[in-house]
Amino acid sequence: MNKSLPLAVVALGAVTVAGGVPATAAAATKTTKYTGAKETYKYGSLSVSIEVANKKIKEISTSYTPNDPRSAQIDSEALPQLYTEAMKLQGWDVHTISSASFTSAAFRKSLYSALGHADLLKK
Amino acid sequence: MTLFPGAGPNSSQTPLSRAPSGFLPTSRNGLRHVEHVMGMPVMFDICDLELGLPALSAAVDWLHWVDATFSTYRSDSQISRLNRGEMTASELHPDVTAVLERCAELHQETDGYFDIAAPYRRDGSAPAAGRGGPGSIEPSGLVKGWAVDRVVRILREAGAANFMVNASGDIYAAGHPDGASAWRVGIQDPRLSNEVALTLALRDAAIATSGVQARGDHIADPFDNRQPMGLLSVTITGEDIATADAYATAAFAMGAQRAAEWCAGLNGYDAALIREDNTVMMTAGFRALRV
Repeated sequence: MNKSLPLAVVALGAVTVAGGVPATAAAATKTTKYTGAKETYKYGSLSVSIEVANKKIKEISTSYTPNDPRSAQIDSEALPQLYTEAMKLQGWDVHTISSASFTSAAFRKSLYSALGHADLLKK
Repeated sequence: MTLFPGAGPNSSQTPLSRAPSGFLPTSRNGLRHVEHVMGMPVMFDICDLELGLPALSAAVDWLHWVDATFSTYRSDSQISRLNRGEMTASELHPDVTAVLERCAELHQETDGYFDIAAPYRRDGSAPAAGRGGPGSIEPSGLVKGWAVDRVVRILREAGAANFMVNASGDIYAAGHPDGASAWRVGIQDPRLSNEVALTLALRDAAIATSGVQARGDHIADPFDNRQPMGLLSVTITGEDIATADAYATAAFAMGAQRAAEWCAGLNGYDAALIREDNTVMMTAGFRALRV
């Protein structure tokens, strides 16, 4: 399955984009969800949730409340889900993915807060 | 498969019988491990059979030491104490001094665009809250890559030649996976987070990407604190992750026009710029790595 995205190359080469297979839902496991403190950032507020099973993080997700409701759709698509994003990249013909990491202060603060709730921060 | 015994409480290990997340399989008998440290997942994929768990354990312990020593999210880290004026430069661990010196070099190399003091100059920026006043520093932008570069050294010294480490999107690819001559590394499409924009074949090389995925909250121009113009992401590949990451961050902050000129003059590193007009600019060396 191949498709081309409208990503053109300026003067220096050609881009071909191969298609991916959508992620399928993982089987449910005994997990507990911990949600970090709501943190404000430039475009709104966010909170990070982690799902923990057997003292291990299974999933990291983020919920966003943008200041401008009209940008909600854009934000929910554009803001990354960190590790979860990589998990969703199914069926690509690659061994791994390079991406911009979400290192915003608000994200990290909320993540650390969630880790604290889950008692996963090193003492 | 035995569980990895020496890792921290946030560890997980993927059974070797299945490749995680649908990626290409990398080895039949290798070792996979994910360590959550420094607020990010660090994924290890070690193909060499001869590498023992002690080497991985040493690498993981090293990352936790770096977190404890450098994190501005830990009030007792050396950086936090330095920012509060409780430590002087002469009291710092030699590794901390080395990182700060490298940050200063990169500040010069990037015409000032890589700037560890910038977060504390922004109005209302979260990193400054409660953890440091004017003059404070946030070297996390280099520490992450620098820490993983040392992991690469630890694994190499333990005898590993074929492995990959992915620290929240910044990668070192050593040797090759089983059944392939190089690691195939996809670069995430910054417009569509579940798509791959470009694929490279890497051997003994680092790659780092900076971009707008945090809706602009990630990187600001250190000179005017504005959003850089014209770029969606910058990917840099070269010898070490720390430099590639710092270059990518700086080039992104420069904006499209200046970044294109600056990246063209890089020595030993190659760049791809994905621009807001849905075009890609690549250096010749980068283009040569494309699959």
